[in-house]
Amino acid sequence: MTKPKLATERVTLTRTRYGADGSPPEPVLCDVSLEVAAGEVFGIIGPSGAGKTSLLRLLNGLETPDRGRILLDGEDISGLDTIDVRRRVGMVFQTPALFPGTVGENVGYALEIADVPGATREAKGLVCLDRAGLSDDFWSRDALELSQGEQQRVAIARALAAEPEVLLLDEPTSALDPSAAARIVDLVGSLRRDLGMTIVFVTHLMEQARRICDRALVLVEGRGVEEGEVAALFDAPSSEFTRLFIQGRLDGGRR
Amino acid sequence: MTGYFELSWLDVVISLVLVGVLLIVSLVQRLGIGRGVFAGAIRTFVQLMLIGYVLKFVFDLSKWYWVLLMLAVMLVVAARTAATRDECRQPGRMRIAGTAIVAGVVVTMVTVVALVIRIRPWYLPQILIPISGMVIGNTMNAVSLTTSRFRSEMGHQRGQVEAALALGATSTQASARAFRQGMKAGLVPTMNALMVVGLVQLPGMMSGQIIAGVLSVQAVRYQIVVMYMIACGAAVGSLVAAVLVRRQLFTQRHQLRSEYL
Repeated sequence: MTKPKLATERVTLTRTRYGADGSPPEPVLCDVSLEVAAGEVFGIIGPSGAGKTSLLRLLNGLETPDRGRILLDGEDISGLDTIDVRRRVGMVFQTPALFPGTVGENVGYALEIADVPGATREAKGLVCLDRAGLSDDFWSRDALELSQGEQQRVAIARALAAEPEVLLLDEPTSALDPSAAARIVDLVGSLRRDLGMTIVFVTHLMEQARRICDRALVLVEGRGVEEGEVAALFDAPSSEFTRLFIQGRLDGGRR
Repeated sequence: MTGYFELSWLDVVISLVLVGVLLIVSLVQRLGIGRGVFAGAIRTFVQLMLIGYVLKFVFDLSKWYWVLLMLAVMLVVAARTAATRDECRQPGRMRIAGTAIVAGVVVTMVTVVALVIRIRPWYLPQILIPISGMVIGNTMNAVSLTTSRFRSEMGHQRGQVEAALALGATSTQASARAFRQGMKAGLVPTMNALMVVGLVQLPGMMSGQIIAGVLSVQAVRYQIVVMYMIACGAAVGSLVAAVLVRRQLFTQRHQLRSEYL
């Protein structure tokens, strides 16, 4: 692979807080390495509680690893300005987390944060909405009254406002019905195709990973067990974990 | 002679009947605060007696260091009270409450002593202690309301705050709404006090002078100044508290430290 767009080198993250049951802090992620090539859709797959969300939060700088490095275009992000890193690496959460107000205010806020002058915000915001598959009519609608699928699209439009090079998506379809989920998956494909964005897509749904990811990392209990082409992972998993996990999920899906 | 009716200690003991009413109500309704009622009644009695002697001592000596010591004790008690009301059980809340209250009180008192009341000597305890007490008490309330509301709003809005951070917002931008809500919560009681003062409740300073039969235009002027002082103390205290809580809630790298919520 040529120089990766985004990579982690043996990152370890330990919760600073004790568990709800008083259990001592334990590593959430342990020695996880991955390499995401420019322009690909990279999947992070694994059962819930595996540390997928924590890994994504590290990539956006919402948390700092205790050990290991995160590289953006080959540069260690701990030496870069955090705000700058977050503009280059956008993130969409599992729940849309929209601000109270209109869709336009949500996207406008992101544009304001990205230093886009007030006069051009609406025009740019409408472009973001369009890229997220929402018509201009949505601009003045109340964000919190939209359907879950539409809210997630607004969250994606908001994340596109800073024109990030990389977009991190944390199980963006988990709260959606199957048809809304399928449309979000299509949208992710078009972002890569039309904008050439690099996308990291977290999911626990194997069918989804198979459909849109080029390559993926399998994460189990905070450790990366396997990384490679999605087709290879599914057809010839080299680890027992991957095999069991994939089969369990696929069987579950057929039931 | 004015119309000043002296109270004897016997009169004070008779007034315990009033606390008896509270005790009966709490027992009949089984509120489980019987011990608190006893403790409260006794503490009121003992604390006010003691403070009477302490004040007399400080007034008689009229030394700047005794006055400052007395103010320091008042500030420590106020900081502790505000800190215990802060639901967050993290270290640092005493430091935050203390710094905010001291900032509000010092800014207010220095301004007033330098520009308005201009007492000589500057530490004249008969003026400095009661006025400082009123400012400290009100600033304490503003600080504790601000910190607890700011923290709870940050907890409720956590998803939105992190979404804003992920977009590249600074910690100041991401927490701006909760910050404003916290400060507003801290200042509303003071704003209300400025609106209704004298209409519903006569302020303590004027009440005391009315009862002592010496209500004067001076007392009214003092009271107006005191009201403006508590406004200033609350504003500075609330602002400093909110800034310090915000600093505690984020890392240098604009990451939310959720363990402090």
